[in-house]
Amino acid sequence: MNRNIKITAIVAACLVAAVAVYWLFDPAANLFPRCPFYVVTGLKCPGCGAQRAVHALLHGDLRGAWNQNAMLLLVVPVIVLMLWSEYRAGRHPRLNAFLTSTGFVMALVALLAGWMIVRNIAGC
Amino acid sequence: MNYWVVIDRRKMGPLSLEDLRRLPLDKNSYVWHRGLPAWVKAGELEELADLFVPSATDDVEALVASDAPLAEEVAEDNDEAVANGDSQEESRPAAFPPPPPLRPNEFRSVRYGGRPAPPAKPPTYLGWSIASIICCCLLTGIVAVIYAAKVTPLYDMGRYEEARRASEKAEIWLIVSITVGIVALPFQFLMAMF
Repeated sequence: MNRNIKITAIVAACLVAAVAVYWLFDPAANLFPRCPFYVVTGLKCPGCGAQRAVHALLHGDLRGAWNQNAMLLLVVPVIVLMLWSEYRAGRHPRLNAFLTSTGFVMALVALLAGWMIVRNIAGC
Repeated sequence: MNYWVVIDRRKMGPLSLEDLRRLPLDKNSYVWHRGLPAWVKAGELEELADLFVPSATDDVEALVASDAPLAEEVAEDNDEAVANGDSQEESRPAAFPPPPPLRPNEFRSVRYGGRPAPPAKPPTYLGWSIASIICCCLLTGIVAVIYAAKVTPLYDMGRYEEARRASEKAEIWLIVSITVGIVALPFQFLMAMF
């Protein structure tokens, strides 16, 4: 139990620090890590633009976040739901069964792959 | 593997699987082989399950009607074999389970009491794997997702050991993703500078 509290405290501290950094600084203009996949291949990965999108979101700019990485706004809630359901699997067995089923996971991966193709062709 | 079966309150065995399948089995006939904690109903044994699917019932009944004498022959053969002696003794189990009780309710309690509970479901790491695709590592993240996606289907099929191994592989690839992400971080800053 004590260990759980420590882990929770560390995660919470990291989260607060990350929120502060992404709220204060604009990843587009400052010294922020660049996506190595983009630097090497010149192609945008499904997560490219996530830092700028988070910055925009923290400033209440939903449209800006959507323009940086539209898929992020759609997928992050799904990921949060999946994590939550994994650790509460006993309470929501049907939801968990759906979220961990092969069909759902394949659809999610296909969505991300499709997004990567679309954004590299359409440049969004 | 040798099987024992109770038909018309007579215990028969040891029988091979083929011989067993030729007998006029009912899905409520009690069957036992080494490794089972107690007698189980034939309908609950995987290797006999296809005999009792609804569409095959007519076939089985026809088979039973035409081959009825065969059952007695097999039974006699085995009685002789057992009577013949000690050479058969080795193939018999060291601890023969108690005979099946005649009341089904008692039987059920014996069986479920003796059956080991399935292991707890291993973590799938699915959410983390998807997150790792977006956050840092496209390629290693995809490998993690592939293993993570296997955990639940394998577990649901009762292949607990394989599910546990898929979960471990997903965990390893997740750790690889995070490590690559952390190792690459200084280079990512460097790239941002130029």
